[in-house]
Amino acid sequence: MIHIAITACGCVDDEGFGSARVWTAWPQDAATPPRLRWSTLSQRPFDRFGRLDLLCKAAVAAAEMLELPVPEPGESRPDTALVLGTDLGCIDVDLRFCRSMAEEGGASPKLFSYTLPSTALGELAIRHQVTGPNLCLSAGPGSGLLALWEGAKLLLAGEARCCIAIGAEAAAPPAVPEPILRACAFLLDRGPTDREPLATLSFARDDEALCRATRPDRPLRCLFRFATRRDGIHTSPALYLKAPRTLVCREALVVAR
Amino acid sequence: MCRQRVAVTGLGIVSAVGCSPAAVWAAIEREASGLGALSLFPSQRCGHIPVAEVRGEPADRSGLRSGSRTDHLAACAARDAFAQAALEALPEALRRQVGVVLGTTTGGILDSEAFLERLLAQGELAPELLRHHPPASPAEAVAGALDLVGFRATVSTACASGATAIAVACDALAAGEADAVLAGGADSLSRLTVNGFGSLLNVAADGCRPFDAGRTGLSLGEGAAVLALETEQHARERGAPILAWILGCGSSCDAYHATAPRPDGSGAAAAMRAALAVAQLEPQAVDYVNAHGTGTRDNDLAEGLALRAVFGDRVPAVSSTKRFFGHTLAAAGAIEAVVCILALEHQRVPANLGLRQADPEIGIHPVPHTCDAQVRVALSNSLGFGGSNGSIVLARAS
Amino acid sequence: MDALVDTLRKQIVEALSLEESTPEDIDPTAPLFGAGLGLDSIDALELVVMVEKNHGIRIVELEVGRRAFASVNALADFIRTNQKPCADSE
Repeated sequence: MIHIAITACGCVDDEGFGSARVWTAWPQDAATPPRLRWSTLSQRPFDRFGRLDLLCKAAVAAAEMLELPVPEPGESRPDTALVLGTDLGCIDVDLRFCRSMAEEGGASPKLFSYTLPSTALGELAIRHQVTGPNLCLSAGPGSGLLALWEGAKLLLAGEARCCIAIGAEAAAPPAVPEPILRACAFLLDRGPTDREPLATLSFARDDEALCRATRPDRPLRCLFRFATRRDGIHTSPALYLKAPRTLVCREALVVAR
Repeated sequence: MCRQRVAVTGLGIVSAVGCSPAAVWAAIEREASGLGALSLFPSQRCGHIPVAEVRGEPADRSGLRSGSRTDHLAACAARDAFAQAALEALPEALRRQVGVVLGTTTGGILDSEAFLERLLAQGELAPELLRHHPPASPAEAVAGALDLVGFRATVSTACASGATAIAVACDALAAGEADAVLAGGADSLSRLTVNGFGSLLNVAADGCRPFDAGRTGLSLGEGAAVLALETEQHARERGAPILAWILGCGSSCDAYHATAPRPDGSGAAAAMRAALAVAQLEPQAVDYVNAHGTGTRDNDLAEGLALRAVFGDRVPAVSSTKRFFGHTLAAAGAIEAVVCILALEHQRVPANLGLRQADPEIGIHPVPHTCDAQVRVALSNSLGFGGSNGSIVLARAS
Repeated sequence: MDALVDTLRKQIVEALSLEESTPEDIDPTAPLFGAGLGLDSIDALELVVMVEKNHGIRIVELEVGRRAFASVNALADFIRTNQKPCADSE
């Protein structure tokens, strides 16, 4: 049996932000979802945050909840992978860019650089100097969970020692009917690790429910139940954060080897 | 990201120089560029800049009832790959399990531009125009057209997407999530990309000249390419003809800047080395490199340095084929994988079209004309915005 | 203080969404790029758009842009030199 540890997780959504360790709800009078300001989310410096588009902000904010050490100048992490899953992608900034284009000579290069969902990968990679394998995926509503799964596969294949896996959806009207902000980040580690795992993804050779929380009394519970491709249907998994510090995943993918 | 070698059993390609592997190779032999005038939509500001536009109407051949231009391009290429690989011959339950992994950057943006135009002009929200916007749309369109329910994912790593899609497909095969996968990339021209790249001031008014001393920038293109990939066992068991092997894929991230590559090329070098490591090959085993070579000052310099770092004094035959196809963004990695497969088949190396004088600062000497060569192993690079780098090692099927 | 320099400082903060800075934070003699504000090549291009939209001057070559954006004062000089007579400007 092979185990991949989830050693940290973080989330930012329309209810609040935080990690498995601590959760902060947005103030009552905040807009839903609220405008993200770096100084609210973190004590650590990050001057660029205000210039990022919505999707990047959501992904970077969720990753900040993992409390990863920020590298020293010159330090890099080639053994760390980065995987982002998003269904909506950067539709929000796509429309903003198109709007800027409508003015003669107004096409904004800054907005253009964000019209790729993978720019969020780039921003994260730059902030944490992560230079290993990187991937941005879309597969409908289950994109976040697919990111987690693809991240785990990279570790299983020995292509990285740890992986930052993120699912993020962020957009505002008119790109979407109602504003959306939902991002969760996980730190996966092939181990051995000195951080106690919050949960473990376990891979075995038979079709069982394979993810077990290592400490049932902890607030974080992950349920991953995978459906094999042998069933004939690949179900699109849905991942969402139901309530602070509880992760519920329905119809996930089973690994059968 | 692959381990055992993967068989390529089918190809599909839609591009400005041709909509079949044979047509594309004929253009490469004729050294005929696909660059021409932009006719897809009017552009006062950028309309004079040459682009590589797909001729004819992709919607006529895609088999889709509806979809964005990118969806149609993807479906045309996917159908061709599926047909050449004779995947239709599989028993229905297995045929439906064929996976789809596609890369795209623009997705349905051409339609989405219409949504915004209508909103700005008439104040009217027409959400159906955004229906094909999600990045997953082309993969959904292909799966729908071919009635496939297996592993499905869309990859978006900017200009490396096509290469990354092939790598993710190889991963899925290795993990047993599928026995056959259609993998590739698709992107259409759009006002967003034409104006967006224009705003970066790195588009060539006279067409791209990769690695040339006088290069001024890139040329945009559109298109799609799809490879039918299978495990060796699966291909042999059903007697599918094997067109080429994928020996390894490598990926890295520059972690440097949203649009500029790391100037020393170390990110690109890392991806190439990673691919060679998976393929278990030394650099000297590579006979031909299809470079990303967009023709921008930054990319070509960084990539040239990367090639010299990986190959030392013995850089193999190199060419960038971007002046044939334009820079097709997410489709590039897949189109260039097809070009490598054709080079392996024909034992000829494609011209680095547009080269007048190789830039001495870069220090590599791309092949100026399509010519004979012994090509057993090819390497294809795709280096994307945001610093995503992908490299694929392919080998001749013999 | 030069009104154009003042205006430019406001326009730079707005065009580049510099949420953590105010116009007053920008030293008109200091380099805009590299250290200090930490602007990068995309920001440079964004300023190209800002200059065209707000001052009617179109920069088509990166080199011209580099010299014009050396500092806010340099940008003010560039605009004054290249402004068409009777052109609209703030």
